[in-house]
Amino acid sequence: MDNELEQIKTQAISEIQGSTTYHELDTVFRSYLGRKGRVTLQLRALSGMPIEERKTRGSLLNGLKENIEKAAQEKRSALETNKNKEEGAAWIDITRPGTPLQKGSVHPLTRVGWEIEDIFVAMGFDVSDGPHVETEYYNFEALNIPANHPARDLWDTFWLKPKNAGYVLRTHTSPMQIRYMEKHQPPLRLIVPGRVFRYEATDQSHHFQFNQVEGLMVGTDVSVAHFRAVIGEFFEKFFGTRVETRLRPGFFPFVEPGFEVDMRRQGTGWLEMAGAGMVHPNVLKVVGYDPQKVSGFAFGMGWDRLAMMKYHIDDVRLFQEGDIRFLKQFV
Amino acid sequence: MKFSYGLLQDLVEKKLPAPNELADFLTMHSFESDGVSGTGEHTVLDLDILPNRAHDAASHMGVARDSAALLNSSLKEPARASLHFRDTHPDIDVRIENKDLCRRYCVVKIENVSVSESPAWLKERLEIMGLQPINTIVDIANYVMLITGQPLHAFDYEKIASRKKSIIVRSAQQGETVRALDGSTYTLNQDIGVIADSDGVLAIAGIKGGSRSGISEDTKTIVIESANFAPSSIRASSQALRLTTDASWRFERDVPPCFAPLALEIAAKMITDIAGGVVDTSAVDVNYSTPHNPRITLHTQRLNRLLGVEIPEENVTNTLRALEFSIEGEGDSIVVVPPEFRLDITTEYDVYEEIARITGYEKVPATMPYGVLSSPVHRNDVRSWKRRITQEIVSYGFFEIHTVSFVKKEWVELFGMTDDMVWELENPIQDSLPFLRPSLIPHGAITAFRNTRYVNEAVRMFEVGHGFLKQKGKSHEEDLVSLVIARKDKENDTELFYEAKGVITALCDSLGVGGDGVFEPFSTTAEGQCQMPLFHPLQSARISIDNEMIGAVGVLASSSKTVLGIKGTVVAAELRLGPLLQNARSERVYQAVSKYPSITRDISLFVPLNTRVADIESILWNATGDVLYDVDMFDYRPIAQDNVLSIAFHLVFQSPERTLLSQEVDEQMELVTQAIQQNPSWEVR
Repeated sequence: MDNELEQIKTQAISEIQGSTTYHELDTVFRSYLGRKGRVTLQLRALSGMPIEERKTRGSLLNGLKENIEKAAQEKRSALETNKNKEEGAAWIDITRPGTPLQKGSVHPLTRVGWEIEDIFVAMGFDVSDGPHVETEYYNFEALNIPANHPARDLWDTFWLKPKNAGYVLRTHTSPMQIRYMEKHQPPLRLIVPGRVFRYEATDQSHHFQFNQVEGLMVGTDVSVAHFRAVIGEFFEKFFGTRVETRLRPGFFPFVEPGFEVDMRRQGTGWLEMAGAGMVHPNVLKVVGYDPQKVSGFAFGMGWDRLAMMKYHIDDVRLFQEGDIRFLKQFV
Repeated sequence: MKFSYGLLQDLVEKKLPAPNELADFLTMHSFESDGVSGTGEHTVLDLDILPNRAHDAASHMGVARDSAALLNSSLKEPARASLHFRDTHPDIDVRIENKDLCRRYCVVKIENVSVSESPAWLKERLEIMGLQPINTIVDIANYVMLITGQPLHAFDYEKIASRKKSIIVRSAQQGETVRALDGSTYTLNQDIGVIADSDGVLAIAGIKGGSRSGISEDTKTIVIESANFAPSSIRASSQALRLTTDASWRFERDVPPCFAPLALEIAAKMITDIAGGVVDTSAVDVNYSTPHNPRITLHTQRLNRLLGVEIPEENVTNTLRALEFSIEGEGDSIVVVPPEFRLDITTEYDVYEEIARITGYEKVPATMPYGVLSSPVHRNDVRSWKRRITQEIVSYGFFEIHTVSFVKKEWVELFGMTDDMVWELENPIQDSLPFLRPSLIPHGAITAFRNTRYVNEAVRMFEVGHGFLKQKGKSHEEDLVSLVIARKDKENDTELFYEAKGVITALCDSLGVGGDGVFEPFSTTAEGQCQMPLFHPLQSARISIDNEMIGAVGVLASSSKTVLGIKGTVVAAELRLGPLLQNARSERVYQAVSKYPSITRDISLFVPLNTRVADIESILWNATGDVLYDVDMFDYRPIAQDNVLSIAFHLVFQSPERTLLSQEVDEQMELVTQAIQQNPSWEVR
């Protein structure tokens, strides 16, 4: 009896040591200790034996099992060191570049526009675009900028032919304040991101066409304090950092009071970010609202500038040039 | 605008803070500072006077007033001569003929002045503020303008015609000329105002003096004019003459009429102090101006609600007193009258702004608004679709670009359009780009082509933007999306057409565009010209859904490439989002995948060149029963020498109800073969 087990042991260990691959080792191991392995079957047969015999034989078999497991474990470790050699044929050069995928990119201005939208939408603002060709009425008059008023000089305007038809390229996104209020009743919250045009020379920081985002919130008791909170929240979300804001006097005919909005990130100086103010009572009246019942704030912000700050772009002209070496950086 | 720190200090009772501190202080409460330069007597503050304050504060007294209010101090008025103003004078007859032009006209006569070089301190102050010293009289006139904001003009009394000097303010006659102090001659018209005597024009009213009555070293007796001209009139004259001066700039901004006598008194005093002479204290003041004294009722509750912070009533009244408002009443109905020169203050809101800025916006806390959660938010559908379209096209390997909205005349013609269908700019930024773009393709094509030098094969770009058309004089603006594929190395790579078409198909699928999309050739004119000259007539298509044109795709014609200055193969497409999105669906409905296996059979054909794939496909579909599930072209090879096209399709058969038998599919294929062979020039391989 012992002999038989001894023989199994010798044979098993020699087969284990003779294995050259994991697969072979596994097959050998399973032929002894797998579900139908020789040793497994003998262990299973124990249950049918008298108690005494079961004890002696059980301990012998368990000893045998441990020996085989130990040998297999040792062999596995030995094979581990040979592993690379064993799979040598399947070597790949992982330093070779990955297959290039044909990728495009969203323009950085579009990308920033979406971010702006998402932040304001999360604060309950509606989003609207509006026409680029505007009437003099919406671009100026309805915004409390009468004809022949020097305030019109604030905007260098592109006029469309014939001039007396009164069509202009919108000089700001503010006309949408009027268009939107004409169609909606307060309380309302709106942003208007879009392209605007100014008749001015192009240089590193100016372009005759650029992008603005207009904001408007009108309701009962909407205040300067509310504006400070909303614009501060926007800057913090947009830049993802603590931001300080301050307001100082500014003039835009369609707000009263009017202010300039400056922003400062930690360790940097104040930067002028937006023009803003409380919607002028004349503007509220133009759309049929009662300035004694509702008030609102409005702001206009250069969106190109936000993108330039975000991506450290130093020349506004890059946005319109469509140079693929620029665009590829935004894939 | 430049301000002398020394002069500001002269005009404020309290000691001013250091220049930089003052600049910061003014920035936060009044006018933004663009910086401080110089030291000591030469210290200059560069301030941006807000447009609505240019009438009263583009002057040292104006800035000193705001500074004094901020420092709880008061204005120190400059010394002035005491003049007795009447509307008549024994030696001088002032007549305002055009009251729309001139609202007030004050003059004073000073005899025995000595015209010479100004003292050093005066010259220095003028120079640091950018003015060239000339002589005592002119320098003082300029200096008083810098102090008060009121432009002054000095005439040589003797050079005004006749014994009793008549000064007439009138409109110029058509063709009348005047030689200005600088030597240039201006030809005038009726829209331009002048100061004249019986001999003709002495000066262009409110803009520039004439040489005939100019001050010289020999001048002994002078007349100083301190007048008020209407902004609209000066603006019109200044535009007509293309001439802007310090004076015209100020009058255009509506100088308060109350400044006229004040400035005259200050000037008279300075002249006698510096240039000697004797002032004739009987001065002239012809005044047609309306006083500015609105009574404004304030509602402190409304102020507090507007600012979002409680301002104590005491602060309100103190601030307004410091700004020289007069105040009556208290509590929620204070009535105030602004000082005469604050023409910008007409409503309660203007007053609230004064209180807010002097108090300081830093006193207003940031308070999040609260509101009803279900406040209506109307998502702009076109905008959200545009975002999806952009993301989709980027995923096909295209780079988004933003191009200029202006185009050349020749580019408009590429779309078969005439000038009256597009908008022309009155004042183009470049003469070569006078029109608003009807399409995004031209700039897109040029941009893509320009980038081919950086890329080994094709450049793929797209833009989402507005196109502009003019219809019966009205604006018709459209949301467009255009795509361009360009390669420089191959002249006729028509595969790019199919790529563009593939993009459009994929995009339409992703937008859930229903309806029957059709690609069909553009019609040609009687002269054989393509309706869309931009494209190669045989390599382009108009795309329509349910008979409405939603866009176009095509290979650019060589003539178009010449016009655009580009080469190689350029394929472009443009879709009109309006009609396209009419057919789009954001909702998806799942359709059960057939549980039964499909069987695919291939069929290869030889057909004559120029046979349309659509025609073959329709025969394949018509020949089979409803078990044909999909037709998928996988090989397309024109064999030019044999004048034949080798083409092959996978035909996929599947039933949603049962497993198809091989034999059944064989029968279907037999039907297909028979149908193909109906056409004698087609051959099944």
